[in-house]
Amino acid sequence: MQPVNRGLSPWKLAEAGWDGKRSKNREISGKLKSENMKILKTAIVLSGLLLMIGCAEPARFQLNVVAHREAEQDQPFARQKVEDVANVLTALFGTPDDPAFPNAKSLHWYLEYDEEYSVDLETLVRFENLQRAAGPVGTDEKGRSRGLYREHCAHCHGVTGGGAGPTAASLSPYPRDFRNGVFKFKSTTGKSRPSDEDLMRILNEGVHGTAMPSFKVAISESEKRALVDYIKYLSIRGEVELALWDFTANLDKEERLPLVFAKGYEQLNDDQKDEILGWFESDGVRIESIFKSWIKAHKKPLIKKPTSPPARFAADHADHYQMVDRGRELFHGKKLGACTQCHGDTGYGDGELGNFDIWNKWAKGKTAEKVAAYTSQGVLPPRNIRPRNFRNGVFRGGRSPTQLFYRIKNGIQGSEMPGAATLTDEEVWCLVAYVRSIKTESITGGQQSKPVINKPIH
Amino acid sequence: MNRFWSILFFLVPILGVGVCLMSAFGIYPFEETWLPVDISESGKDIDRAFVVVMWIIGVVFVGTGYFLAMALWKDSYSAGKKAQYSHGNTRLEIAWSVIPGFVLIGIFVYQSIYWEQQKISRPMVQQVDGSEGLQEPLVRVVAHKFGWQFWYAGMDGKVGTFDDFMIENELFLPMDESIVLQLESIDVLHSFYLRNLRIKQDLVPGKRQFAWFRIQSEKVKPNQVYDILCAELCGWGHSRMNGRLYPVTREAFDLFLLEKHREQNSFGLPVENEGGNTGDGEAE
Amino acid sequence: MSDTGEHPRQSFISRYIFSRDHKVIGTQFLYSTLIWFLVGGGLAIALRIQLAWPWSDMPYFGNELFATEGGQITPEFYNMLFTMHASVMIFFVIIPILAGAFGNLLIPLMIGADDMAFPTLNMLSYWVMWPAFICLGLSFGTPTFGATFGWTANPPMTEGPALTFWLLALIFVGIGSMMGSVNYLTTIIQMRAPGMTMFRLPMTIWGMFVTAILQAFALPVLTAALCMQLADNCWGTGFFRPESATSTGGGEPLMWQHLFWFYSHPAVYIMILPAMGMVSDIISCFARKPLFGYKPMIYSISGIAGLGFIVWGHHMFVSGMNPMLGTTFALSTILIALPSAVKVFNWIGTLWRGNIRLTTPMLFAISFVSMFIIGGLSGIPIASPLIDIPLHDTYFIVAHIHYVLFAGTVMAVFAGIYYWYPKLFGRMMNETLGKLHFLFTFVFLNGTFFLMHVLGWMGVPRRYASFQALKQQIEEGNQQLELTASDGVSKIFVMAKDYEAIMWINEFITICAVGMGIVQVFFVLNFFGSLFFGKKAGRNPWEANTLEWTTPSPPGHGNFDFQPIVSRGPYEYSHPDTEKDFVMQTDPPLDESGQVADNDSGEAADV
Repeated sequence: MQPVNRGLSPWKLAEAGWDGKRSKNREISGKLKSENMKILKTAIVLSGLLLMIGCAEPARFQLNVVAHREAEQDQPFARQKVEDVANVLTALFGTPDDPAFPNAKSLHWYLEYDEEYSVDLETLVRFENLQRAAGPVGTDEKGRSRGLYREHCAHCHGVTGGGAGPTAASLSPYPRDFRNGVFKFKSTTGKSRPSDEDLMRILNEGVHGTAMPSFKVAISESEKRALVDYIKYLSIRGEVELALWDFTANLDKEERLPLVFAKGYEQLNDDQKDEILGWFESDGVRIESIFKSWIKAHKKPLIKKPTSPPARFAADHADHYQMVDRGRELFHGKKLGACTQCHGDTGYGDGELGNFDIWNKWAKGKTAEKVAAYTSQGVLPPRNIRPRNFRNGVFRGGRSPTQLFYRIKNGIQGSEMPGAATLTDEEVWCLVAYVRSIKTESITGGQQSKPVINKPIH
Repeated sequence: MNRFWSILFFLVPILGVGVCLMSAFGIYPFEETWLPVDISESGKDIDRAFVVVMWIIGVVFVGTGYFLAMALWKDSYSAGKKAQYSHGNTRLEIAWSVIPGFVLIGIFVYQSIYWEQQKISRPMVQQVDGSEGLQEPLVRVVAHKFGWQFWYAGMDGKVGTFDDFMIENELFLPMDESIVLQLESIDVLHSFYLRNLRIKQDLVPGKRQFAWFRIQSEKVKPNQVYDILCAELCGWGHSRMNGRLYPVTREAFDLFLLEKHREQNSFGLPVENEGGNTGDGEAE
Repeated sequence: MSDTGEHPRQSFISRYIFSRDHKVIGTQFLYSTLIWFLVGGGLAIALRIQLAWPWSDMPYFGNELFATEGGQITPEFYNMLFTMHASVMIFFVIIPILAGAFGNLLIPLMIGADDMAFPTLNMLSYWVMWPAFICLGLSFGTPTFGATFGWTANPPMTEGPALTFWLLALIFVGIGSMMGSVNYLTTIIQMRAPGMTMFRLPMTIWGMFVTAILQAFALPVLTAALCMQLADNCWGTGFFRPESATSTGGGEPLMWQHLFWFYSHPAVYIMILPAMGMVSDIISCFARKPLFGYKPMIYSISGIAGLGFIVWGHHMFVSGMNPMLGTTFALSTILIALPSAVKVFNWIGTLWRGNIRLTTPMLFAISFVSMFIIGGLSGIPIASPLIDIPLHDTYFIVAHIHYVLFAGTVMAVFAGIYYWYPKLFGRMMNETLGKLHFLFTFVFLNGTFFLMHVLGWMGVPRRYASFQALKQQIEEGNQQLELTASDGVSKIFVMAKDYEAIMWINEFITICAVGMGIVQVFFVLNFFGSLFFGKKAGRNPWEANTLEWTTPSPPGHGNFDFQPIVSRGPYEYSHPDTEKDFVMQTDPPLDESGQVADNDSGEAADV
């Protein structure tokens, strides 16, 4: 990685001997301008530096506090073991300024090496995308923006992607923690990872009702692709970290994580290789599966496309209310195990409020002191899950019928929302129609079948 | 040394007006620093008013600056000299109160005409029953933290109804016709700011505002897009609240409405054909 | 301090800390505000760095607070920077340094009183600033590192603990200002020396007098509004909050804006009228010429004060207020330019055919006039609601307010410090350092603020942490960028050159701002160095006329070592019948020739 210009801050440029390289745009028409200002700039800013002393430290990834402490189970790990985890992660994934992504070769100690897998890994997270999204904000030698993640995402999601950036605490809901590979609003089924299109869709549309804005027009297509790759990178990195904590928890007291990643597989002798392979045999599957499942979501995501809705699904169709009525029956009925249990009888989302989603699940059953021990280390205070309130008509995953279909059919991974696998597509469409109509429904018992047309939407 | 200070103070209006002129005529290094490209019909009135006022204040700027610097130049200290003993001059006081007064009132009256067109009189249209009525909004703009929702009318042709559909941050508008936008905010104060249309209107939660303008197609470059900015502090994402304006022809706009309606309200997926009543334009 | 011996010796604490002596209180105000001036300046430089080199590693702030983020600040932190910059500069620097420091120091001295009318109230008016200092200091410790909602604190985006502290701080400042203004009014009306009629008062005192009236009448409104918002924030009342997800509502956000600007527009005059008064005195003194049009000057500041109460709506032309009201406010606003213009013409008239001594205070005072011309003139376009539409909430406004308040008031404050320093501390400040300080401040301040006008008419909105919203179009180098819009039609982004201009202008501004910060070293060195090494000043080092120059430097307790009896106005410079070119207000009337230099009528010979 060759950062020509790591951010535009002059003190960094000055450290690097003032290479004076600006963005391409400015070099063309602003060359003289920069030249003119250069003398002024160096003189004044450098003397300003004398007044403002402060040494810039590079950004660094934080360890996953929750995973660390959950793995410890009240028996603190030796510092060595914690450092091992950090070292392995750095060896595999680099630092925020200098990211790396494992190639097939570096992973082949437990995978049969094959050409396809190697190509898959390269296309899963493209290295040039990674470089473009990582690092401090600035422009590269071609005049393109660099440091996209830190310009657009890190304030909320944090440099590590742990959803605990500097702004996160004041947001509700909290920003997504990417580190367990769980994404709520995706089209893929079950526990499979989201497809690139799913991530792209969130970037484009934002998540309504949350602080996640739409980046559709704010950044260009190639930048969004770079960010999608970087999010996958952070997510994979986080999942590997979880796996490493699990390994660490299963180790004996004296035993340490084998630093294969850090040392490099080639440098080990055969005995060591055998030992490590043997060591990983029991648990190693997990790391392999992380990469494999992401490759799968990237190459051929498992999406069960819905069948087309019946014509009466259109809101202006005369028989639309039939679908709504059927949806209401399902919503209140026993067949699904009661939607109303969480979303409430009136759809206000005021049913069961005591649950946690998987990002806050660690807090379940913990005393206030124990929770405080986590939060004092930078973990955001846990919050209960809020079932969606259908009365305000805001759907986080998007209000389009297709998206609502996926929410109902596949469930929402990470939350308590189960998938309705037993329903036929037709029934799911009925539910979609009903859910979209709830905000216009009378609260006193849901007698009103037809949505009120011409009513202002809020 | 006195001469030095005198020149220094005279440099203020010279450089000041110089910068304004360089900016206006795009002279190096102030290329592209004048008013943003104007694509609206009424923008030229605002621009003209701005230029007129800038010329007036520019003349005053140089004039006062000249007298200030001249006073320093010629009346600098010398021992033994005695300053003129005067407590003022009533006639002068009256003159320099009354003349600027007329100029200022003139500016006020001049700008009030266009202000009225810009913000007070919403365009009228002929209604179905033949009477004149206020023009209905074409798009409902809902600002939120941090983005713009543009709600377009569904098949009923009215915004604010159940079959509206929404696009985030992208505003498509037909050119060469009078457009009224309905502006709302759902959380905090925002300000709907179209630089190229000279439109700025704060959005107050709980209130409805309107903005009206006409995009002139001859001023729009083909396929050009324009910024939509937020001009009222709304939180940490204030500077990120940007949308894009796409001026399109009326035909393209109608097509776009139809497409979007199909996609979002007749639901994105191919619909089984059953009597053809599937949102193909049969407006109710 | 030369104790006149009338008072028993006091302990250190009652003499220098909880003193009731107006000079000590004034000095306390001066030091406190100068320290806050440094804080506010530091915040300004930090935010300038973010604007010129967005999201780069921020010196000090970034490295201390956002170390794991690589020293890059957050947009919220940027909001904090400009909010706290404005709050500190307005409420902790400019208002207290004018009313608190200069008001306290100068009013009794210039009207010939031995102290304020209510010395204890005076002491309280300073010490009630301390809860305000503490509250604002505490707000830096909140999760957002301070208030982040802009100094106008427009609900409903205001919330959180930082808001509580911010509101409390302002309420305390308001209480302090209130005490001060009551005191000033009483003192000026009741305690003038014999012969000191209202129309013999120096302009400084007139400025303070009118300011005190403005404060006394406008502040209660702000205090009430602040309490209402405090209730909104702490107890969930809904004065200013409409119905929303987090509030039951019923409130009206525009109401806050009306109440806030009902104070905060007069506050702009509170922040400039005393400065105008001081500048009038300094210019007349160093031009060795009577103030041109003394009475028109008084009428114009009264006019500014009167009109100042009915122009607040010009901050709200596009706020959603009824546009008809905009027309009304436009008329009153455009008329308020008139008295301001009269003042400028009178200052130039004073300089014309004078015998101008270009000392450091005079340079600062003249630069005030020169800069106020810009600040005043740039107010005319934005006073017109039509032109305000594109300019509102852009950098044009930022340029305008800084030309009035920084290039105007702060330059006048520097002039005042250089001018009255010998009286306060008994020593002269160094002229060379002073002139260097002036020269560089003057150059850098124009470099900093003038180009903001350009950004303004380019339509660059203020309070943007970065200009990425305008940057998109030049992405991908100079090439046109293909991007698929949602209608499936391929759209082409044409490169916008203005983003490039925005960036180089911002860099230029930041460099000048950093430079301006650095050259204040001259001032600090001069201020503290002269305390020990300055040339000893006599009673009247500038050969000025007004009463404070008849006292010893520094004045002792009780100020005057004789009973001043005033026999003429304050501006009798270069009187044709006298040998010297100044006649002090206390000098006996010129009896021998039968001429009494009485300028009460304010109108005399031709120019």
